[in-house]
Amino acid sequence: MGCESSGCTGGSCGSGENGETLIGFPKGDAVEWVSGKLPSVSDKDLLKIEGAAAQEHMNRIFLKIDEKKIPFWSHLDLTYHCNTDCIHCYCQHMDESFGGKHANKDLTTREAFDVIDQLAEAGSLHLTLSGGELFVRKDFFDIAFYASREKHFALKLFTNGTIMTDKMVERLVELAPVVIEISLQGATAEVHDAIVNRPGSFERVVRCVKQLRENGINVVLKSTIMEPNYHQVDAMEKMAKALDTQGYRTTIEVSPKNDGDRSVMKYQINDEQIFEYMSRDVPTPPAYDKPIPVEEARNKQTCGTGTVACYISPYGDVYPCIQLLISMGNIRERPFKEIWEADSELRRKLDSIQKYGDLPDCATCEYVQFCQRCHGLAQLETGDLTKCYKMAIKVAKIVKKVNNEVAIKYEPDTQKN
Amino acid sequence: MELSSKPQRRPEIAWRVIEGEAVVVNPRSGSVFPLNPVATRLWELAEGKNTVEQMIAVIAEEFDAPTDVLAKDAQTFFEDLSSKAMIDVT
Repeated sequence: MGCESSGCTGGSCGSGENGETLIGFPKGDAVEWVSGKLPSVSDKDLLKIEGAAAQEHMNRIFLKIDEKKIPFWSHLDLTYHCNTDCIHCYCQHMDESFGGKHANKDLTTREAFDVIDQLAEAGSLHLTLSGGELFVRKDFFDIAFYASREKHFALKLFTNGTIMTDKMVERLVELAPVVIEISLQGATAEVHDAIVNRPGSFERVVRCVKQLRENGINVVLKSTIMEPNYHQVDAMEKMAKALDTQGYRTTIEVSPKNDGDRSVMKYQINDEQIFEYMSRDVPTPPAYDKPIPVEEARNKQTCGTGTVACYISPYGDVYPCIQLLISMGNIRERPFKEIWEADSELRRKLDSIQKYGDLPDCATCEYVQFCQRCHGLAQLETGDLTKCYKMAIKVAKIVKKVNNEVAIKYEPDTQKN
Repeated sequence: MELSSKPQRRPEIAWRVIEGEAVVVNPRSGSVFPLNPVATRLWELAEGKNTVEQMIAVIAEEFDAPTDVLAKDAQTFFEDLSSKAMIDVT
């Protein structure tokens, strides 16, 4: 699966497009370190706006996007079929219970075109195509070229990198996606192949990345850091750099399966490992931003799920995002616009939690400035998307500890002394 | 850029008009360009059929703007887009 544990596109909900650099290794050999976030690469590292005036102009457009609830960032899974079987996969969508009467009926080519038409009409510009494994769809290029050439979408593709031929590379060069994100679950075949449950995958991934980079296609590698590959995290990061990729994205959050099954949580790294991971000594000192004041943190926007971002399943169900699986309606039954603009309990709830301070638990939490909560994970764990959940508070506490005990030495003033 | 030139958007360039202003993305470079309403109309008209002069005439009417100022701005705009490999010019 081209997704990363939760499948969240990371930065695709309105937080992107404000960076200064194309590449994901912006500080020499270091991976950017922002207080409260794990070292990662996001849209802001891949998309750049040149000049302060352009940035200011873009910010004004973002305000309109936010105000009008334009789903500027869309994610469309073309299928849940996959040629790997990752041990930590959250995806239970093949189960008959998921998708109701549309379960296991992937959108046809024509239906996918129709979805793309409707997303473009709604003002969406950025479209992530994923799965499952998107390259198992025989009509993938028909759909991707339609989105790019007929409807002018900026495409991001998620793949497991195990299906790639020279002919496909040629077509991808012509397609010109902004980036292709590829899952890497280990720095050796032994570890990677055991996690994805498919011998030979590691070799294929490495070959795929080389093929794409040799042809000038932007590639980001991404991993779910968990027990079986924790010992290889530095090696994977070095590998991403050695393969000349644009960046390396990680998550330490193993999501429960989307039917609530928590059995995969056994792969989650423990608190000590999370602390160690976040404190690790990257080749050069990471950039360090001081945490924002608590009051400022409470005014910080929550993610754009259901407002500036949306997710559509292969069965046509519309969701606020890939992680928050509360269906807003099915595109086979009603137009997207009608589904998106409908007044509903979910819509009202999402509208009421635009800032951290709007969330009852966050409004009084002393760790709010270190938190990067996810409404979807809150829903999965507690049944209420507005509540605090264990992983969020656990990570926030560790981030605070890292800031207090480790990152302080990276403050610019300290480095000068 | 000659006034008789016909600029054409390159097919891989992504763009969307949000409330009268285009957001344009060059996927190969990762650059994002927000356009004001006049530049947005020029971008929409750059289909390879219209000359720069014809576009200026359309926009002068739509925005009630002086053609000499528009001509200079339009030529600079398209030269910039051409240098960024975002349009082809015939």
